[in-house]
Amino acid sequence: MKTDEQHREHFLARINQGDIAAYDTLYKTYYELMTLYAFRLTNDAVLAEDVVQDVFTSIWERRVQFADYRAIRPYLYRAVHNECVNHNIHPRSRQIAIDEGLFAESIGHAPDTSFMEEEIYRLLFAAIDRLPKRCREVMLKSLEGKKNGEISEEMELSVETVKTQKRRGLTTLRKLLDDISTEIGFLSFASFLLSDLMFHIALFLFLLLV
Amino acid sequence: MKKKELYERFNRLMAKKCLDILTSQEEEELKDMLHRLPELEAIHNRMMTKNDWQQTYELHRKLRRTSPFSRSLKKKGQSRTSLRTIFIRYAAAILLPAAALLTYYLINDSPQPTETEKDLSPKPFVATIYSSEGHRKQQTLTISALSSYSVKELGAEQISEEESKHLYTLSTTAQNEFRVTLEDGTTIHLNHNSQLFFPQHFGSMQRRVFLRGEAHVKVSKDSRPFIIATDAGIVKQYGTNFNVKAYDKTQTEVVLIEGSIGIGHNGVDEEHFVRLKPGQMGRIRTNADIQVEEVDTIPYIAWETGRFNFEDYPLENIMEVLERWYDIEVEFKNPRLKTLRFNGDIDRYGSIAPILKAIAHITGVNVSLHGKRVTVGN
Repeated sequence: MKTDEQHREHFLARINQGDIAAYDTLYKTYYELMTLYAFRLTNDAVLAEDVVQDVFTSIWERRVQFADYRAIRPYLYRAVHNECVNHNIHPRSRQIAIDEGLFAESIGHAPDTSFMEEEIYRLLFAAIDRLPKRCREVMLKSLEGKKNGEISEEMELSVETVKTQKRRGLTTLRKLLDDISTEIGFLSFASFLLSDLMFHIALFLFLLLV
Repeated sequence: MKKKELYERFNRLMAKKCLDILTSQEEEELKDMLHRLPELEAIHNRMMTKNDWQQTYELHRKLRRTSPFSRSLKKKGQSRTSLRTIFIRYAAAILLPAAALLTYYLINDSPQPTETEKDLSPKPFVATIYSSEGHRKQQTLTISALSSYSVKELGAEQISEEESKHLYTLSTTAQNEFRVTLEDGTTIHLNHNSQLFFPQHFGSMQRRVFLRGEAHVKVSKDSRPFIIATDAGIVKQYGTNFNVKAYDKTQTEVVLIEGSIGIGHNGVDEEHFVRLKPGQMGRIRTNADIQVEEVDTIPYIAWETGRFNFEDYPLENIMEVLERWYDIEVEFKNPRLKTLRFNGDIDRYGSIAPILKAIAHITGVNVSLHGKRVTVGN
């Protein structure tokens, strides 16, 4: 069995070699976090997605070499930040910001807390997503500030049902938020590597069959 | 608890806070955490101020259907490079059929590039400065708030003839401010609605500028004294960092941060100047003696840094800062509220509503804004 550390080293090596499957893993790990972060900076969902894709594409195309896997996260954070800032200021010279680390002074945050807001959201959203569909809809509407009566009308449910769903939703969310794993990023690589491996085996078998 | 665990705990508590399902015990725990870890507090305050995670949730739902990176590359029309590495691995084992299949698979998804170009923030400025001679000089200035500006020509009575030959005027509007570095290296950060008159070259005896409005001055060391003249009086410095407020023609307030300065009425001999110590505010009024009092310097200089970062700071003083920044008047319905203490971090270039909202949210006290008047308490 490989240790987490070895997994990470192995993963880092694959990223540095430009292994597309490793990039898929990296992307899967960070795509949402970074997009939510870009959204916080730009307040534009379409732009946020574009920015993050551009950042990944740029890293991939230039075969950026990372000395340490711990450097990846701050790098992504900075790249997304620069790209967002630059998008607003000079739409034409985006590449420069990524390369030169312009605006570098604003990375002063400790890397640990850089995506914190997004991590909180991820946790919150994971909990909400685990609610049963109807319960989730009731909860979301109620959190928007809608009254029980309005929700019952919109969803064609009785007011009693809305109340029950809300109660159930709150209890479940509270419990979920106590239990859900907060782990993200490289700590969960083992599972990603596993799915990565499965993907290759599947692809291999599939191609063999053809 | 280790930092990482603390952070994880914080995340859980914050997620619950978004849903408003914190137990009173957890509420206490979070408060305590915020008190001890300012980095978390900044995050907390930012999130509570915005309080719009539902919007982010919508994006999150959309992102769940995101395709793998290799596919997104393909979308941009770079499929051949991107899939080569995978292909090479299996090339030895599987020959042409695989390639045919892959190609088919790639061609099938037609590329759909999306392009969005947005330009939201204003461009950096080039300030045009007019000299009293009428010739124009273009100069790029470092500025902290991005907005429009105006520079006017000035005839100055208070400055010697020789100096006035090359006198420049920098004036700010209600929406902007400037930080300007003078030829001697002194930086002057000019607040809103202020005018600074300064020569292109200082004389050999003294460095002298004229101010209307408010400025934060960091004087660079030099054998020549640095003098700021205002309508009401004169501030003379001896190597220092201070704030001058002279919006009112009959009154000038000077707060000394560090170093040493002397202040006096116009036309008064230097030996009669009143010397200030750091932490003191001197008030020059026409037709009155100069008053000196000890002050908390933070409200006076917070505008200069652009961020107001406070810890365990009374609400009364926080409101004082807001009064200066937003030109509002604050009324406490209940005087006890003045002594409530806060930690926080306010960005001066934001609008006031979220700040008031955050204060109301954290304290549970009603904070309302009517025109230029803020009422705290019920």
